[in-house]
Amino acid sequence: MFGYLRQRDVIITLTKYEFKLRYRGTVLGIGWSLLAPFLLAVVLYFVFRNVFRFVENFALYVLVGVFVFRFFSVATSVGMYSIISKANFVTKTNLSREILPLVTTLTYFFSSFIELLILIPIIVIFGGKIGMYILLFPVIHIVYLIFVYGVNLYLSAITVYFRDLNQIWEVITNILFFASPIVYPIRVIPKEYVNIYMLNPLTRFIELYRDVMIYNTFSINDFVYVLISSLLVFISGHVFFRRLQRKFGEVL
Amino acid sequence: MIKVERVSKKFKLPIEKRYTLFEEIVAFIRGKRDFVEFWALKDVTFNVKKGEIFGIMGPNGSGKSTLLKIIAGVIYPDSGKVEVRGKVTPILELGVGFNPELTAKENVYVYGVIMGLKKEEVKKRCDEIFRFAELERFKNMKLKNFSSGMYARLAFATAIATEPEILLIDEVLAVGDINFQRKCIEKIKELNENGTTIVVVSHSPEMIADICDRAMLLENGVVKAIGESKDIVGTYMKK
Repeated sequence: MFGYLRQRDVIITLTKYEFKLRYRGTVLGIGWSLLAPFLLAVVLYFVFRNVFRFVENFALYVLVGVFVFRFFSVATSVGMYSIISKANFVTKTNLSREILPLVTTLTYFFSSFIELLILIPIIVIFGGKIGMYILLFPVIHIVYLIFVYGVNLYLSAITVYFRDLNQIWEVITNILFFASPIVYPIRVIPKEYVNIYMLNPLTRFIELYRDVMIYNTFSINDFVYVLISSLLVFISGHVFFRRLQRKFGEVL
Repeated sequence: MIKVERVSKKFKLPIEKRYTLFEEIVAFIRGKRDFVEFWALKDVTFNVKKGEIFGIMGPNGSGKSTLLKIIAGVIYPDSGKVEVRGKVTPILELGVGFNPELTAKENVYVYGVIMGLKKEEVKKRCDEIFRFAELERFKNMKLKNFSSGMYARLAFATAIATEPEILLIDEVLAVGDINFQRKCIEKIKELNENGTTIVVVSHSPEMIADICDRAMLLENGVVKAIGESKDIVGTYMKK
């Protein structure tokens, strides 16, 4: 099932050029991609700063939340097209089809990694505590990659059959934005709902990033939770994709 | 070696192709879920020996391309069995993944790895690919500035640089001018002498007669004849 992961040359080469085309090889390319989420974070900060005055370093809290969520929302909204936008890879070559969503996910994984690295100096300037735990950031990011890739396996396969999935997914992404602790702290969630609220892996991911990037702590519980749920999404995504991919060659 | 045993493939063509959940729901409510069924291939049996050049001919819509796609593993048969021993390189379309915004050289890298080469191998063969395509001067030109002939030559040169064990070719030999076509055919013969098994789908009787050892005639998804390529071409021409 995972044999295709050994085709490293194809995966790396395709990712490299997809990345290159996305940013057209310019340094400013990344700059532009930072601008929109940055402005969003600033707006959200000014809207909510009086409400959540008690949150430690609320500006950074929102900033990291927005950027962490962004990897998920952007990578899935583009990743869902990864099969249909490259239909001739599917109908005219015998390339393993999983490679297409993987390449798109990897491309956004790297841009998100760079974006978060750029945040680090900003975090230092605005008084975030950066310490030893920051070293765990790449590890968390890789687990996040596994999660997002799993989701993209589902989405890209379904999109082959239902092209209007994007309409539905846009709504779901918006709901998830407000169902995750991005602009508010978890403690505003009523006690009886906290258990359900914490089922959302995105919540745990966002908390993990904040812990290591702003507060210099680490929750092993959260980490184990995201690791297990990511692996579940990843493996079930493969099973799902394999089943749907048999008809790809005819439907596309 | 390729062994195809009693392969059948049925296509269901919806009268109106539905791409979205919304259209699916509308069609369901209206109770209109009709489609046309037809057999693209029916009980097709043949085999290709190792080191052979095998031709598949037939009129439009006879199932040639479908058959090639099944051997390539792009689509799956409804019944029957396909057994392929060796690594298959299908050339069903030239230049899959070519991107107009990348340079010719970058595109060779992308296409080369898609066709199954290692990155190192593309690097090693890059010069040879450009020499064969007669495009050495345009290595660093963006592909969007290429003419369609240049595009096809570059793609073909890259595709055959993979030294495949089994090569499947679908009507893509008619690229470039006469000289280049001749060169392609020479190259295919050369690959074959070095042990590559080749399956060619073509409309051109001359080409089948020229390069193939054996051939098969398909009509409406049914095998009409298999045998020496010259005999098969004769049968085809008589119709």
